[in-house]
Amino acid sequence: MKKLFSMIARFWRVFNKPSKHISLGIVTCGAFLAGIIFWGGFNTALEATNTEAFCISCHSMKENNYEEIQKTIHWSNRSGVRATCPDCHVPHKWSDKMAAKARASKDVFGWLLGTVNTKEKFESKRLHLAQNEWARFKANGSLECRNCHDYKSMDFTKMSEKAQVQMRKAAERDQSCLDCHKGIAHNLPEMDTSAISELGKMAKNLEGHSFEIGKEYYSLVQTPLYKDDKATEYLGVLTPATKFKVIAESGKRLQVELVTWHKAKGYGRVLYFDFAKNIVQATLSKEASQDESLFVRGDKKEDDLTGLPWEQVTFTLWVDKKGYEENLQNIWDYAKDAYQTTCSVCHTQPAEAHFDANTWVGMFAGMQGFVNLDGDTHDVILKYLQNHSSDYSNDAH
Amino acid sequence: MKQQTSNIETEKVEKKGEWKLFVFLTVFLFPILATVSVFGYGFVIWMSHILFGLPTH
Repeated sequence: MKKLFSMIARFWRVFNKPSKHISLGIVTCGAFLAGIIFWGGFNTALEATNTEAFCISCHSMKENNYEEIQKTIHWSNRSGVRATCPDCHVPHKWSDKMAAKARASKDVFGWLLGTVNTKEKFESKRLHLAQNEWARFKANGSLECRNCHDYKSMDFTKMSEKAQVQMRKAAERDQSCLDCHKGIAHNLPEMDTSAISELGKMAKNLEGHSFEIGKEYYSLVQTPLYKDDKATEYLGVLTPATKFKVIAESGKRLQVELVTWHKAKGYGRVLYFDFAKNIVQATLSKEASQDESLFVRGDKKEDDLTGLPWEQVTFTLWVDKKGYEENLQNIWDYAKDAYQTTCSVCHTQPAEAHFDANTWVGMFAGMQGFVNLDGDTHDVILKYLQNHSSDYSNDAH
Repeated sequence: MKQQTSNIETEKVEKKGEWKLFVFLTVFLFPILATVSVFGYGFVIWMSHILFGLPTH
């Protein structure tokens, strides 16, 4: 240690004095040359870490992200221009680029610790990783996309009609590309909502539980319907958030009464919440829908818009004893939460009352392809939207 | 005469020391400092992104 200090002290004495033996010319020339070599070397190293070959030298990059992009248009297309990793993922501005490089030191730790060294670990981190990139694109208006894609250079007339409508609007607002085009180069993370697991948890088996007769409940998940308490015949399925009244219980099952509507034409296999409203309560088998012993007919009305006759029917069916909800609002709270988190991933979700109940069916179906919803969550969000649509809301558009 | 030799000796040692320091500075210390300061600059910007938000366009 002492030796080191004395060496530093000796170096400092030399450093602090004009050189006696090396001429000023040699010092400046040497420093200048060393500077050139350093800067060249620095940039070469920087460029080297900005190549795809460098990116995919890690297994997790090569086996996940790199494989995924090969299925997309950014890998292979008619014009032969392709995007490499750094084109999209490293800012082109020097200072932001340095920040990105400094930040990438975290990736080195991740690599050392094996944070995403298996497919499972990568998948579990995918949403988090994607959100980091989405946040960056959101803040800079998808700048890295727009280094190549420019609204000003887009010929809207060459787009399909559907695309034109969206792209013209987007250009007007100078919208960030990733607002809509998430998952364009890599797989989308599984954006499962917590609502389903919560609904599923609440709908747990309650075989031994005693239910109050005459009380009304709402289904939490898709619920099978049976003809009798032994469940000998499966009749169909109830959608979540459907109201029924318990009229009897026997063993593991409940006899319930379902007041509903069907079309009095064809088999009437689909049961609806309200007259002429496409809000599905249950779907039945052909036999069940024709079995007059299961239901009592009520009012009959004709829908002027379609000319179809509708009929109110009251079904008496059996369901399993499991968790049902007494307070509908609790279900709507989950649905609202799921709607906001799922849909806001890509866009600002429209107000519930922006559409009527029947329009929501088509709207929702059109969006379904972009998200990963399980059946229960899908049903409960759609029903939430329909029940809060302009048909049932006071603050309609 | 003896005085002269010892002077030459010191000069030699001094010269060696200067060259050693020169090479050490230009080849090791300054390039390392430069790299560290660029990384530090990047780090500061990174931290500023966390504190004041990501860069807008």
